[in-house]
Amino acid sequence: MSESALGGVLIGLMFVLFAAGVEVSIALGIVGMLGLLWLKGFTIGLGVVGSIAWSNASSFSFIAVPLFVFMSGILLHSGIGKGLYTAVARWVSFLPGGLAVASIFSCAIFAAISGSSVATAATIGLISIPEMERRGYARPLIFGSLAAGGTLGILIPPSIPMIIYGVMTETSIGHLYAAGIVPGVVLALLFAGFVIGYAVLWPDAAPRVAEDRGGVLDKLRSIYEVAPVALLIVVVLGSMYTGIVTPTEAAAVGSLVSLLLAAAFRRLTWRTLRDAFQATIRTTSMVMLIIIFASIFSHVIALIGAPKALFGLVVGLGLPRWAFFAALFAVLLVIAYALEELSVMIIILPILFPLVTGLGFDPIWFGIIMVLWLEIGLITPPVGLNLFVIQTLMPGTTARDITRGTTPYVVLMVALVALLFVFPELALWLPRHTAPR
Amino acid sequence: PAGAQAKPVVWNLPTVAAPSYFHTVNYNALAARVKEKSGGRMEIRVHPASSLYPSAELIPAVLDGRTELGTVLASYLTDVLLEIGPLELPFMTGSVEEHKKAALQLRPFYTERFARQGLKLLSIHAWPSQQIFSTVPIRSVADWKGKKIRVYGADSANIARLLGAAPVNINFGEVYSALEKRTVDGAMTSATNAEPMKFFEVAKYLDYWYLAGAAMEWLVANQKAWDALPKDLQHVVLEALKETNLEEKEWQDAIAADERARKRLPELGMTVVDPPREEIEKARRIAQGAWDIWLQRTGADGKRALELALKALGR
Amino acid sequence: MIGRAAGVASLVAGFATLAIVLLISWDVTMRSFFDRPQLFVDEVASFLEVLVIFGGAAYTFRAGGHVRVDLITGLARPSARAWLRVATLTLGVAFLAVVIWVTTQSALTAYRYGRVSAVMLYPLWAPMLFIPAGLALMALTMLAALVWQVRTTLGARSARDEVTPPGDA
Ligand code: NA
Ligand code: NA
Repeated sequence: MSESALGGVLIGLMFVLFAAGVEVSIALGIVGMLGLLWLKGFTIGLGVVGSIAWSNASSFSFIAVPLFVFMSGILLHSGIGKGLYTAVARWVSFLPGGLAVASIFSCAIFAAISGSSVATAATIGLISIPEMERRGYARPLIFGSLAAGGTLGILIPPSIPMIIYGVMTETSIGHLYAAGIVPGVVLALLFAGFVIGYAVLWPDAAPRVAEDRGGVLDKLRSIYEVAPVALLIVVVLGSMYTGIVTPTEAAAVGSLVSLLLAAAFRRLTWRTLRDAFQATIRTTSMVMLIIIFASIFSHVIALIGAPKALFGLVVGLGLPRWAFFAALFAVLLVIAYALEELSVMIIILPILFPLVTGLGFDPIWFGIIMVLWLEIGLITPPVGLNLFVIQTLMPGTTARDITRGTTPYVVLMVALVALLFVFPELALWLPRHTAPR
Repeated sequence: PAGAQAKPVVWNLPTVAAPSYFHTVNYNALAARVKEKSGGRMEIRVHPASSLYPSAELIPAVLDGRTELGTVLASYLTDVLLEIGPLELPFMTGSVEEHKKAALQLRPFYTERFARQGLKLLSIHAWPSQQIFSTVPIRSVADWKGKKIRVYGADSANIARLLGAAPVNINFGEVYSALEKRTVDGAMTSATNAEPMKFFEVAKYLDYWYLAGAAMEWLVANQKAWDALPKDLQHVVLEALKETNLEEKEWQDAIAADERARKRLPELGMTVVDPPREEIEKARRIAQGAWDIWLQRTGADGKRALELALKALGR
Repeated sequence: MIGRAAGVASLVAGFATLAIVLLISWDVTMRSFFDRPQLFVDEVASFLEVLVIFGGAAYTFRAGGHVRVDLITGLARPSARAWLRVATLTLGVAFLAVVIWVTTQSALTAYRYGRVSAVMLYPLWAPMLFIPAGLALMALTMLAALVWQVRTTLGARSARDEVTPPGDA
């Protein structure tokens, strides 16, 4: 069997296993392992599994995921998070689809603390999903706003993928961070605009609840309820931007502050702790098993040299600049629908980066394009980590809810990519004018 | 005709270096030459930027034969093969040239040690010198005191501690913002990172303490994989190494990168700090403590390695 | 029995999370206010992370947390779905058995090479063993689910469907 045939067979098999209802992580692991067996034999091939499992599981990059989910779990199960939501619900009650809009902006704010989209979706989702469900919001609307809103976690700094991109390509992480801010805000506004439009057209999807109305006095009173969480955000953001903690450490400090808050309100019970543990474990274990086994599959794809052949093909077409980029992004989009992208990015970047920058595209700009691509991948089935995270928080979600809920956001992200192609300054202006010196 | 139809032999070569870094460029040139000389019967796939294996997994991967070729980087010598790194001991060498001179003399020693682990040494290379970026100048041994310094391994942690600084463990990817926000006062890493990683924006000073004159990188093959390679292809690989002049080119590139970085720093608005010779001597004496720790860990093998290294350096 | 073991392991994983929180907070405090960074924290925290991931794997399986794509299976006849689940659980257990084997081998190799962590030189084989240990518990949990599924699939025709074992199985 030729190498490209092997790649095709494995991807085909992966879809068969998904369809049969094998756990996503296990399906990825099986195809990865078969690829290794075929290429390298039992002893050597399977040695890769141990190496990849260990290096991913013990990677300091991923440590913020359990910590942020834990923080959110404490806020939720101690009841502190609910106070926040009551307040927010009152303030945004004038907006159509107000709570979904609030979720998107909460994600955007939390994205300034967290470098991970999974953590962002899980943290905000854990608190907001029960509230939106209680108020009768339509499932696709809830699902989409959180899955997509969560992806802002890697576009608005800090960002784990930007760190990986910066280290791999020797580009400034500070510049990447600055370049993500404007596109991040634009994307959040696009998402919010879509939700408002949707709620105007289909008011039943986002019912307005009497309890959320209330007068000026209620709105003022609710400031008191927001205070604890606002304090938490100020402490975490403040300690990060003053350099007391690194972005990874911010997650631990956030957890500690939420524990202290819960204790201060006399709500830090064994039950609260246990429920927070369970939320943490379920998200972390599910997500990390997928990341680990997807990395093994990506390793196989790297070994068969697929990326080089694929992108060589695109370059070989000899297209004009815009058509080349469109063709390239189309290929990436197909990959986004098929695979787990972070591990794919790690294997394709060394080939893709010299190629793209060689054609005169800006390295920082391309970093933002890659992050947007990762964001799309996070909400495209069958393997989209944010889909899985929200699915876990919303038992009984159907494939229809997922597709209907997230497709509009994919369209918006692709639109932003096109916009960035036409106006690269959207990303590049800020780093050029704010970077130190 | 039957031979021409056969599937090409594919070997993998994972490396830590970024796609545009000189190591990657040179390895790609080697791969191209091998492909050409073998008439397409052998292909070497270079995997830069730790894309195949994360850095710490590189040595185990080539030891186990999970990759046919591999780069053993001195910074990751924490356990297996620890004794091949006497030249990387703190303040052992003071320039890439000095490192080169000693390293090439140690070839028989390296070859023997690698062979004992089932690896075939193909070529000896280096990364540019290890220095310190800092937000305040570190000119004397006294300046080290109380500084929070980002380190990358046990040896660099030992130097920092012995000199009175407080070692901090921070991911390479978070070093930029840690310097920018003053989470740390300084970071030990290669001076050549100043420009591509934009460290010059967040750290004003580059202190040339020459913690290591260079950091070695050995290109090795897994011996079993090598033995399984047809004789004529073995010949092709060896010839390609010679024809591309890989080893010499690698050293020249490392020296050039080091010099270029140094010249470029003032243009980028950085201040180059050259501590007085006697301060570096003082630091070297203090850092002997780190040598002792290394000697304890490597036993008789390390003792012999250190003797050979000192002899090669003419000390 | 297996359920209880999975519960205990998940509790260990939970406390590992709490330990990471406290350790990193301790490091931050000592570094910022006393100029004494705690060098050991990063590596210990990353070992604990392995414990969180794999200690919680079995519990997450029991809670239905390892996501599956149910687009096709949702459309199938209940009895077909029952047989399909027998097959996928068997496949899962077999796959995990291989992974447990290879990750144990990795830990043993690390022991043989004397592999240690980069900065603090902690031996790696011990935290590496968290991986096969956690996966072994997950495999047993899947095996229990498989036994239950086989029983249901061979049992009364009306009850044939995909099932999850009761809490105490
Ligand atoms: Na972020
Ligand atoms: Na996807």
